[in-house]
Amino acid sequence: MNHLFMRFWGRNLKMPACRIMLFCLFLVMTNISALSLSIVRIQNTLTKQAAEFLGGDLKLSSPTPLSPEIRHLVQEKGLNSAETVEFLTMLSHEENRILSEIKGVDTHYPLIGTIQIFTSDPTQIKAVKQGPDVGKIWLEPRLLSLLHAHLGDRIKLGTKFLTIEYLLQAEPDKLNSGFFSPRAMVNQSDLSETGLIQAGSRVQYYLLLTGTEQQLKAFQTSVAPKLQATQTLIQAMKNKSIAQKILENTSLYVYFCGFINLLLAGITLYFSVKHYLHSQIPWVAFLKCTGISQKTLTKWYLSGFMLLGGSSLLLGALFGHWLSLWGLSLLGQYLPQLGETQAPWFIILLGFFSFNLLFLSFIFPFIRQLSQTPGIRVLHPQTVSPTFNVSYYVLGLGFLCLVPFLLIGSLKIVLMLIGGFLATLAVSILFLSGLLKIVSYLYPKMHPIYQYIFAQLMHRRTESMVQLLIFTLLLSIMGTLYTIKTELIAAWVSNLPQNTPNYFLINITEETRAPLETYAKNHHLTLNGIYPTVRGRLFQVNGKPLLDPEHYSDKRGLNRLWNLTFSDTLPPKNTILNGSWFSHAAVSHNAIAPTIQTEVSIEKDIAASLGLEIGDVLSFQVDEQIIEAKLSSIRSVSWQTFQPNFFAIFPASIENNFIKSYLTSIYIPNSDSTSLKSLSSTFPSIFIIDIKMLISQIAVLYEKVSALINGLFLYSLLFSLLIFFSIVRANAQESMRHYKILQVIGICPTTIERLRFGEYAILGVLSGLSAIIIMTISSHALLHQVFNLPYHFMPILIIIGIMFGPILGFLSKHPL
Amino acid sequence: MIDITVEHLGKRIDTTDSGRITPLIILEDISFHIASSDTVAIMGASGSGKSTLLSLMAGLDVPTSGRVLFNKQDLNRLTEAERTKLRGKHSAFVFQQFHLMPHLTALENILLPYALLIKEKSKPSISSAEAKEQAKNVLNEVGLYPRKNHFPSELSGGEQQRIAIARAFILSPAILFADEPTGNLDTKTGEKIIDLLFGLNSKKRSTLVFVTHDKALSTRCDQQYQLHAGHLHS
Repeated sequence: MNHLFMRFWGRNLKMPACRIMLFCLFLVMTNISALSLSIVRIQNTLTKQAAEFLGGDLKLSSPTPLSPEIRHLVQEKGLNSAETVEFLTMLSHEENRILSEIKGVDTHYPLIGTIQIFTSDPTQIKAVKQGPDVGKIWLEPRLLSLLHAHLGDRIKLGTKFLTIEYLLQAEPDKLNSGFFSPRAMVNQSDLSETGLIQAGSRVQYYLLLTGTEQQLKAFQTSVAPKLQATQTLIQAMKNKSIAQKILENTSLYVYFCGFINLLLAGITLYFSVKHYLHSQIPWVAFLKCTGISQKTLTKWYLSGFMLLGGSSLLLGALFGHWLSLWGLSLLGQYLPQLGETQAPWFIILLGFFSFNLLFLSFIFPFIRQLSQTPGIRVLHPQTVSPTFNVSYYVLGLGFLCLVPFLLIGSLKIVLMLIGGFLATLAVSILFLSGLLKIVSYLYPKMHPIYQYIFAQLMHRRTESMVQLLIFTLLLSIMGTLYTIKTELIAAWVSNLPQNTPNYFLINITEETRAPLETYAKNHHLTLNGIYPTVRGRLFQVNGKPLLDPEHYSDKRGLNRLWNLTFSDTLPPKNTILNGSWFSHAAVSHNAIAPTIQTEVSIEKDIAASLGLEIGDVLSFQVDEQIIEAKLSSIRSVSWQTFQPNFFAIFPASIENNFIKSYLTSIYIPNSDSTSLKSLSSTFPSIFIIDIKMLISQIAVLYEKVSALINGLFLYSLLFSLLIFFSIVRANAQESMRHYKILQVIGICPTTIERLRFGEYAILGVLSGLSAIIIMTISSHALLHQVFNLPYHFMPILIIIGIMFGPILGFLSKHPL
Repeated sequence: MIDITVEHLGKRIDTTDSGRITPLIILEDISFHIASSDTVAIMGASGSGKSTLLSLMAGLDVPTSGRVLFNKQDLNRLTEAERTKLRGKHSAFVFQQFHLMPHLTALENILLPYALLIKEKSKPSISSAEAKEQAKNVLNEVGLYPRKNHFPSELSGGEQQRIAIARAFILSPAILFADEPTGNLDTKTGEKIIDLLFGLNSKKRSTLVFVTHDKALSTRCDQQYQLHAGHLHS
């Protein structure tokens, strides 16, 4: 019996229907496995990176030394902590003095991640878990060259000499720094001897914290009432770096692709299982005839499916795991590996869960129905067929939708995906029903060949509708994926054009502005707009003071001085979302108080977190002056570009009321070190912020995520092509039988060819037209609502939509 | 040993014509008796209800009126599962379409239903070696032992039908229902198949019920019934 069982199922592998079904099972499992592992890894990475970019799970930032009360609270809640101090000052070595960002660290720093240092060879990086010893200093490599110093030299920080021990490659919270000057790291104990930190010095104190979620929550609650207005508590996941924002959009695309592939796999699996089990009906009917019971047949098929299907699912799980590892390895350093011990367990659990889920929803109902095939079917094959209940399929799809929910964990995203899919389905059905209705009125007036074709389509209305729906969905889904992918990559490319500014110049005074512009012109350097800036604080909205910081989800706008600017034109990459840009901003001075009344444009996230609406009056304090500004527009800014961005912009007409400095950005080729040195020595008062390392990191990330989403798209495309060809093939075989009858009754082969071509071309034209409309709506909606990107018309998709008719007609004759 | 009594059997189905449900009478008031080891031919034109009558006698379908007594057991009173079990115990089938699994060899096609029946204990338990031996014997009896490892696609129509007969007789059925067993074969091969069926019948003392168009076949049977528009003429 076992021998026969193995023979039967082994030989089944030779059947195309069985092979297609097993391949579909393999693909479904590959999708589930690849999707889930990728999501877990991306989420892990985002959380981990968020913490690394911040330097801890929580970061308390304060312009004054931390109170003993807060330190006591840290101990009480059992949190791990490290403290750092950051400030800008001059480092000197012999004649050279360079404005540097000094970071004093305690012995607990870094709490998360490692500090990467090296001596002479940058490829020989050493990762350490502790900062410099007392008397030592670690410098960024460019600082060493700017100071004309060497390792082991002693350089002066304030009044203290420190020995250069290592060169600093990277540190966990580097990208989060507020400054971009060359950095140096010292032991915090040395700072008191430098004499640099005095009362009133502009110093930022940081307390980095890690702990369990409960500990952190408890600390947040307890510390909130103790915080001063100038102290800010930042959570890792709310403090998003540019890299994280890119990864977030990428992971959204991964979710989207994964979900689509799961649905497509579900559809394919449904058809392939149905097709395979249909091929078994005559045999099962015969066995029922000979007296073999439903129970025995159910057992027989279940065991066979457990063996073959189980193997496919296992292989799919492993392949999906590999695919996820390979796909995400493209992101290299941005996605560290999952813990070695986590992955295998996760795969086993996932495999077990998915295996049961797929069996219960997609296979068992079909087997049950197959084994119910009545024996009488042997004698009356046309009249008695087992009915494959579509409700099982809906249940199966429902189960499949559970997978992304369990993995993504965000009900919002999953509901959005399912809602989007159902909406697309509903629109497709409505549109196609309308089209068929129109066709049913028109076709009696057409050429006899078309009359015949349409009569066939109308006669098999449900089947035609299902075919049209599948083709429409496949085309529109692929079109949407292509559009989003293209827009994402285009946005990334436009964020980093070839001459992306790699230096910010700040603290440009009124006097140095003109000479700087002349200097730039003479040295063929382009300044990317010079923005006047003043520091100011928002203190009132509609005459009422701002609420306690805990009332706001995003505290960036509170307790902190903003860089405000003045401009009559909307800066590049800014888009007005609400209201209008000030055209004739009314400016008036209040005669009693030094109050300026004007308009203001605010960045959208800040506006949302403060609950601002167009028409609100915002009160800012700048030096001794008050600005009362009516909110006239809410803007989106592209934080991923390397242009100066501002939370608040006022009309240029009021800028002369303030003592302001300017800031700009500039591109200096990496190879051109003389221009940088010359610029620095010509304008010693200007702070030059070097962001080229950040830019190169982001450029590499763009390149890798682009490769990832291109790969994902290609995978989805291949997958949908597979579905498409199998449907065309199955239907072509079905209609072939029908056309053979026509051949028998004497219709010439050329006419039959034309009929077949016509039938598929009409299906193609109808679904192509529907797909163009649906993909346009869905791409537009997704880009705007989910990815925050503009939609651009893609002619190639319209051409494919139009050409789909002839393509399908051709494929019906050559179904591969 | 099996005898079958058919009493006032009728079968009617509802058909839809231009949206109106119209009853269609397939069989009406059929009565006859088949004794153990008899050979019976049911003849008639296409659409006369022959196959329907066969399916009712075998318990594959249920009548709309009358009854079939299978060894005095009223098939109407049995559930679908009980009728299946009864078929497994006593009946075997040979059809015009051979119903062989294309990816199993001749030997495996004979063994598989047998093995499944043994598994559910409708048949006395035997070892797989014994089952294999029996399959080889029955293949020998139909003259296809040398082709035991061939696939259906490698066999002629007549050979495939002989495999189907071997598959039916390995079950040692008390009654064999054959629906147009020579319908797909040329006259010469058809005659050989009929000889084979009658030869096995005399050897194993099985009851044979044929549904056929074949006049030559019917003349060799103990009883012949003619169906005409659902009515029986003996």
